Amino acid sequence: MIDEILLQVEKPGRYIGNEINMVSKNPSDVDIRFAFCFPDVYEVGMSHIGLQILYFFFNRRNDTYCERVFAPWTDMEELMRKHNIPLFALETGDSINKFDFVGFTLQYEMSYSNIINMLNLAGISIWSKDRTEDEPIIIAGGPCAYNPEPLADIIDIFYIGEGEVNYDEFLDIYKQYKKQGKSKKEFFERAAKIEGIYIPCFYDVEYKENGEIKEFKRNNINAPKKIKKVIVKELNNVFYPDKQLVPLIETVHDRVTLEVFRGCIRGCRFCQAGYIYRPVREKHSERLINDAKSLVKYSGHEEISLSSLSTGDYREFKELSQGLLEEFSKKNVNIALPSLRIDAFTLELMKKVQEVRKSSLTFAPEAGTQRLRDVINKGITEKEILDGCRLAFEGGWSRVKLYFMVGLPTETEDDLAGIAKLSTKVIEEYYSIPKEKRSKSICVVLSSSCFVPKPFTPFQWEPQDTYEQFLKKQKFVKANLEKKQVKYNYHEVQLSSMEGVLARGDRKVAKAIVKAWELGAKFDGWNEHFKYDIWTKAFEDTGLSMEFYANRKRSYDEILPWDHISIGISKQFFIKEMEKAKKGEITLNCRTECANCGAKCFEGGVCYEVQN
Amino acid sequence: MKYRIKFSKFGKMRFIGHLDLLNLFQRAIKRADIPISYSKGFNPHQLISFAIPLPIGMNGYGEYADLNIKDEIEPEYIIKKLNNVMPEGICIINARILDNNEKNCAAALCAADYETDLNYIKKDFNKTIESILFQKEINLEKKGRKKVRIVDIRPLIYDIKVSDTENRKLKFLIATGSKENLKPDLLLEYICKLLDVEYIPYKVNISRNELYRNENNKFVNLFL
Repeated sequence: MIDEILLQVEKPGRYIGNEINMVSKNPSDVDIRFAFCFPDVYEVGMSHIGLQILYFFFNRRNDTYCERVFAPWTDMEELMRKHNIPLFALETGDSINKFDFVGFTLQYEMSYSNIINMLNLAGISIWSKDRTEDEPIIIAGGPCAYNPEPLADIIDIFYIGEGEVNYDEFLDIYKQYKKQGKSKKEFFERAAKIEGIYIPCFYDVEYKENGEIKEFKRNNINAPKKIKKVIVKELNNVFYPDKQLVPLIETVHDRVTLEVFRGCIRGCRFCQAGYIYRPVREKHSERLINDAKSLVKYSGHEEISLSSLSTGDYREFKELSQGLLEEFSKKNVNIALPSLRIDAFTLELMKKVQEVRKSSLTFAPEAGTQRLRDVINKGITEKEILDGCRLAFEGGWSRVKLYFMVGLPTETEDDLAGIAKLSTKVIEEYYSIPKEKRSKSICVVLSSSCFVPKPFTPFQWEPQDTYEQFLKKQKFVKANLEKKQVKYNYHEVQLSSMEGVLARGDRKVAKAIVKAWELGAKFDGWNEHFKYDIWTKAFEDTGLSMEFYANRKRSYDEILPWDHISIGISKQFFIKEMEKAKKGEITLNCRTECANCGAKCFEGGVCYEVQN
Repeated sequence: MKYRIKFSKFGKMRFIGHLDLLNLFQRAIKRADIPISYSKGFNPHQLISFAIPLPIGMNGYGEYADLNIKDEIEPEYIIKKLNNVMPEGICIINARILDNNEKNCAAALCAADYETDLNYIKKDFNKTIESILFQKEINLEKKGRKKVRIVDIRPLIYDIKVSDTENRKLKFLIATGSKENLKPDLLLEYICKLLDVEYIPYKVNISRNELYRNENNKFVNLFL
């Protein structure tokens, strides 16, 4: 039956598993079956480095079989429903509704409807409270788990932080409890004592009449008052797979990925990743080069990419890039460089690795004026951008990408006009270079996304623009463009609005998410599937206001839905940062000067580096 | 040094398309550390070429590819090394060195052997199948990009017979390659029309069992 169905779908290769380096185990030989679910299509999920790490991390345990599950594309879903085929894991093809754990990685808010859909396709109860002892335990982690509340009534257990730290302990305890025939509740009570584990049903929320949180309190003494994220102190000793799953069909990124460091020293005030992954912890270049050798050997990939939030800040970048070039340039393996700060060294390096294929260079000024760049603490100046562009044009590059955000706090028309002006200046820079010294043509690709305030950033209290405001701003930028060599791309505004609602949602929002799914929401991250009308109706039907979550200014003393989660950074620090933002004062990066954010409590990383 | 390999692609691997198969071979060759030659130019790629794509969903038991390898190595070594790194469902069956004057597999190809069941059709089809070879011409509409053409597919059918009456299986040898080509779907659709049933492609399991070249008006498989 399944073969017949596979012959009718667009890309059957998404559903067959069987990839190179796939782990095969006999399910009857293991104690724990874990379904690692990525709530998006195969090609997206398989490009995710976290999946690759955790897959091999779990499977290094002899007692655990971790299998993968992705969201079936709509054509496949239709046939699965028609023929009553429940959601299955790629490794064994077994339905996941009898697994011990079904784990979701929460990479972006707009995948929430897919989570509901996948639970439903698997035949698993959607609401945590309805789930029986026979059903799997639903667990979730990843960046969006830092505000777990919109999914708190759906997910049984959240894991806050880096998986390598406590999953072994967690699974050991589970195995013991399972063998003793203990109930889910007994296990939950024990698991709640593990650092980083958040079990929503052990907490109750009371609301004020205006919808704000009145009180958030424990209803079970086994649960901690505050859940503190767990992170790996010393990245050099941490598990990293020596091989990677190699997909049989083309995915978003078909390459070996090296994780260079975690965290970011920059502290851009809009960037959640810049705070939740603090402090910065690096890996030594030697280890990375060794990892690369093994990964290339076992995958056969022809490209290596470096993964981190800001690879240019890696202290051993020279050693790493030169080491990789030495090892791989003669073996037909390319090194894909991430966006870097452009200076003489990086440019030379780019020339080496990219040979003649000169793709575009990317800059992310994020805001159009220095004032606003200071507000968001984006430590890049106009001069740096123009100098970088000049070097690039002289080096033969002819395409420059500039990334901006619209709707940032304190933004004025000047700032928006500044976006257009900066693109003009880049073009003028090009024409100021003598003809024989510059690339043959020039194209500036301007992209603007819409600012989404996120939890655990200094802007977490800020109102988000409505999508109508975003539209106006995009038009304004467009009207201010002067040069025909500029191409302007902009983001889907309603999608950003919706993301804004879910990002700072509370427990009540789950109702709307489930309602939206009932009304047909799925693959919301895909423009072709996203339907804003469905979401507005879902919020209306459940008596919730989207404006309350997205467009409202919160006061510093309001209890935020994620206040019981601790990322090691104090609220006081975020308040201070917000106040500095208003005054346009910048905060130096972690390596230049410690801003006392609180992340030092993790006893590792940049906070303990010897300062030069 | 040029090599020809014969391989099979079956089971789950039949759901992988041709471009993905090419990528899979390229990565396998790298993992196996076979000293493959690369093309010159800005974007070097491995010198490997396949006889003809196998449509998604079909099993192939006699598929071919030619490889350019820098050194002279034992064909047995290639078979062993590649099979060590291939996923289940791809198997290298044989390998040999190609003579300098031999055509590459794509250019040499002229016919292919197929076997399929039509078991979902609950009808006796022996007579219908046997009748095909007695026809002088079989004119069918072939949909092109712009207009519909009438083609006579009879000369492209070299042989066809029932191989298993009980399970309604049939075998056929048809023109395949860059000069003359008949898609098995077209033939099966025609058979279904004769039987007055609907042709449902996903209900049949087609295998391509062997590929041939023409040597003095005889079909010789591409390996020989």
